[in-house]
Amino acid sequence: MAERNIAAELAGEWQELLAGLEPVRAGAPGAWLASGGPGRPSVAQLYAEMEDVREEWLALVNSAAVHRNAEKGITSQWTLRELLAHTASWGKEFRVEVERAARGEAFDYRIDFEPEVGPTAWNHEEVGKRQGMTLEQIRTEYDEEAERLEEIILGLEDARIAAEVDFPVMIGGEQPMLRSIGETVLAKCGHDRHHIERIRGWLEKQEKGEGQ
Amino acid sequence: MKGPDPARSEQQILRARARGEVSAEVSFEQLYTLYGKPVLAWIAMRAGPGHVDDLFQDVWMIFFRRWQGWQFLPEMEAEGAKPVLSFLFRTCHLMLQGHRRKQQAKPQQDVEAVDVPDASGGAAQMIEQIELGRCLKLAREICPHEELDVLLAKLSGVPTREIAQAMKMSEPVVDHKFRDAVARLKERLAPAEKKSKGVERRGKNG
Repeated sequence: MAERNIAAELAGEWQELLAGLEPVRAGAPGAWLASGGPGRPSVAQLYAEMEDVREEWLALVNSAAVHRNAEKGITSQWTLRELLAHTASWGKEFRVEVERAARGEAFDYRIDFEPEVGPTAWNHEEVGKRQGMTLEQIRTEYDEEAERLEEIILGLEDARIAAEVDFPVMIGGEQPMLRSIGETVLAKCGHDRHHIERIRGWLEKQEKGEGQ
Repeated sequence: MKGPDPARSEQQILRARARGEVSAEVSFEQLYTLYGKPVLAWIAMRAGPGHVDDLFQDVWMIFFRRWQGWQFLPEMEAEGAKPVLSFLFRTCHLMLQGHRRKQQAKPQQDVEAVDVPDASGGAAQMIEQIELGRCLKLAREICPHEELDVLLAKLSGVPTREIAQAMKMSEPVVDHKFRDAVARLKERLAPAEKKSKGVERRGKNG
């Protein structure tokens, strides 16, 4: 008797399975598109976003190109190592904010954002605190804070994640930023991705010898 | 702007979007039409029926957000490149990881309450009504999580390199896990007489 070709049988069954599914409409995106975008993020969704950006950040920091260029100036004020320290400092700040918000605690401090520029003073103070840190120490701080944030989020219910909280961020005024824990986590992921993409682009130029 | 065309390949959709021939919304619908079924099948094969609808929607919400600022890199033109399918697979993988960790963190009675199959219809009900083929059904029963993930990704055409990256393993390990899964199924699906002959032979020799 001929040998069974299991791989071929699996491929056939997979195609049958897909053919048996109705054109996917349940939960189709049409409704979100009509309302201007997806709704509130769930715990599983936030976890996937956090873990995705964490892996991307670690892969970047573990790369040889980062080590070769760590002490070069990437902005007018910071070296690459300092910019990575900046992402680690926000990793800690976001974790602290989410932890306190999850416990229902009010914030007894504020971070002032200048419109269009950001929280310049806070950023420089936090990077200054990390001046003596090596890349490895920065990597450890970022990773540990990311792990802690994931644990906090996994312990929360979707409703808690969606509830609005007064966060300590002040943008050009006296009113604290009102947003949910979910939005804060997405902001953290967006912040890190923004820097990862810019660092990758910069590194590519450095490695090609196109840097300053 | 044209409406969704189910016959378009991922590369065609990406090219059209990169050239500005279709809007972000239309191209998103095209990709949803192209990959909605494999994403649904991945989730249905890996998560309890009570969670399929939510996880499915979550994956597409993540992609929807990312699609707004998608970077059209030259690598997307490489032969066999499927960056969107790869992204969806990686996202499903992470979502299911988060889902499992969340379930493990819940007190036992909550887990049981949540795991009641969704009777409200939708994708979960549709999946439940579908008879899985013998090999797929057995794969779901006997393959370890990682092997099943690799198997489903390979069946869907996710490039090996992307599977390896998503699952934090090397490409040879991905291939090895695929072969292990097939061998496991082959062993279990071997005709009964062949198995008994094997036992007999081993008995005589031993």
